[in-house]
Amino acid sequence: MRGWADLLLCSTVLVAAWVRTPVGAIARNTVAWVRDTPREDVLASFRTTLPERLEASIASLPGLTADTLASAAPAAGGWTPALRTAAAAHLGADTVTTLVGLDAQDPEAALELHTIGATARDRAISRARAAGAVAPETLDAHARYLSADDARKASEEVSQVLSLATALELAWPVDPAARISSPFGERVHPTLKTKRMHEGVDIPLLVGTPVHAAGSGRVARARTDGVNGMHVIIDHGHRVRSAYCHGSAIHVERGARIDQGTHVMDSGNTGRSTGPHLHFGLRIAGRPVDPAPFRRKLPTPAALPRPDLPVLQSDSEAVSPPASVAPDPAG
Amino acid sequence: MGVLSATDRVAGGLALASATLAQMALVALGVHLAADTVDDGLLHGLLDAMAWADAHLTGSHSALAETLGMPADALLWWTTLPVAPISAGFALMVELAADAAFIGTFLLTPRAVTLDRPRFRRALGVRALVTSLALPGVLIAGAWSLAMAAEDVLPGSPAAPWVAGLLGIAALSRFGFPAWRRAVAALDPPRQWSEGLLPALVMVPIGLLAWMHGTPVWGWLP
Repeated sequence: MRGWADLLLCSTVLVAAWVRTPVGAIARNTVAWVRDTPREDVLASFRTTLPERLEASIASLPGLTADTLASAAPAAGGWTPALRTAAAAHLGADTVTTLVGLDAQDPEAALELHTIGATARDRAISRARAAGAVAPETLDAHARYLSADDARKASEEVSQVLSLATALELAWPVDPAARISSPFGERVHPTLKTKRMHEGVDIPLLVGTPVHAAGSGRVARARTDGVNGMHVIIDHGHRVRSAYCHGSAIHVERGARIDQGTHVMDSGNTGRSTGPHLHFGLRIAGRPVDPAPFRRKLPTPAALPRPDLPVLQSDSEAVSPPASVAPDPAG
Repeated sequence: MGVLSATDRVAGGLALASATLAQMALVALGVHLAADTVDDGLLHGLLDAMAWADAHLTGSHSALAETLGMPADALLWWTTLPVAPISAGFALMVELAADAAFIGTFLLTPRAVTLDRPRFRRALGVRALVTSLALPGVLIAGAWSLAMAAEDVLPGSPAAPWVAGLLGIAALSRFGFPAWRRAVAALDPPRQWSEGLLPALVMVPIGLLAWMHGTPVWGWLP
């Protein structure tokens, strides 16, 4: 029976290599190509992966009321209001109770458990531990010991909820009463006369009005160029970045770690701008999103310092750019 | 019993071909586990390098973007686009090269050569050192990857890791160790010390990664 045992063992190894290695994938797809049956998963891998679910979650934010969240689950452990809101928007309000029940302290662990189940997670953690990984409980440390499908599903779910929660914790960079003169979205560019995407919102402000960091993070960029003028980009982590353009003075340096509310810039009229205003942009997972749905979505986490200079209290006081010219589309 | 014995003899007759195929598959599994970190490392390295270039070479591309009527960071954004496919493509090339290099150590070697110390001493050189040290790491990583794959398809029970572990050990002892013995035993004395330096450029890093990330021992050590 030794011949049979060898053959069986050999088949097992071959099947594993066929399924789990790129060499196997090449072989599989060559066979499929020869048989002229294009594989759906191969075609899918060449398509651009867009975080449609994330967009849908952002769109559902206005429908979430405080009552809905309060009835979904009490605030517990690591589940901050932002995380509960993000989970409710992404997975439904009912699921939040389940998630808090799965792990009240570690939202990342709860989201992973909810997505792939305890067995797959426990296996990956024990494998990561056996391989000597540091902090094997974290998804980053044990993701490569999950099956490819589970790893993709878990990291998508966790990262999208964490991104959304990070964005929800942002505050408005200036007085929330200041009006938006040019919203996010497609518009005809006033100087270029072509249809362009406006990847942020424009807030008319007097030159010199202090602009504050919407959230804590690291200054990814603080410099001047001809389009955005003096501008600051802050990386808030979890793939969330905010941008502040057309300033008159920059008060932070690239690489600095800053807190929410830090005075990062004074508004101005530099770069491709024809009127004093702040261009405030928000990017999640590399894609520009409308900052407006995140405005005052949660109780302000930290009171912003009051500006030293007068801020605009109403539309009548606002200094708008000339009607024929709108700010640039830079994010 | 007659039919069983006959088919068993047929299976036995295919032993060399099936064992060689299994050895190749085991190497592919081990190399993949080891090379899994190459893509991530390369991607982050390239993005860090671009962030550095963005900070230090800002004038040129911003000015060019402005001339073209684009947002200042548009050129940088477009340059970052191919980073992911480039790093994934490079990692795939490294993986395929490592597969070829490791499989080449035992694939066309004579089976009958016995492993002995004086013969190995005469063969000492870059090729002998790299083969004897890096190949076991890859084969162990391959057996572990096989055990993980088996555990993934087994129903969740306390016995699953043990069954999967036994399968990995069986594959390692039946195919892994013979592949290593065959590769090391067949080493010829090098004509010059640097013989085998080129494949070593791929085999050494992949072998190290296999020992570091693909062998389930580090977490058990004190």
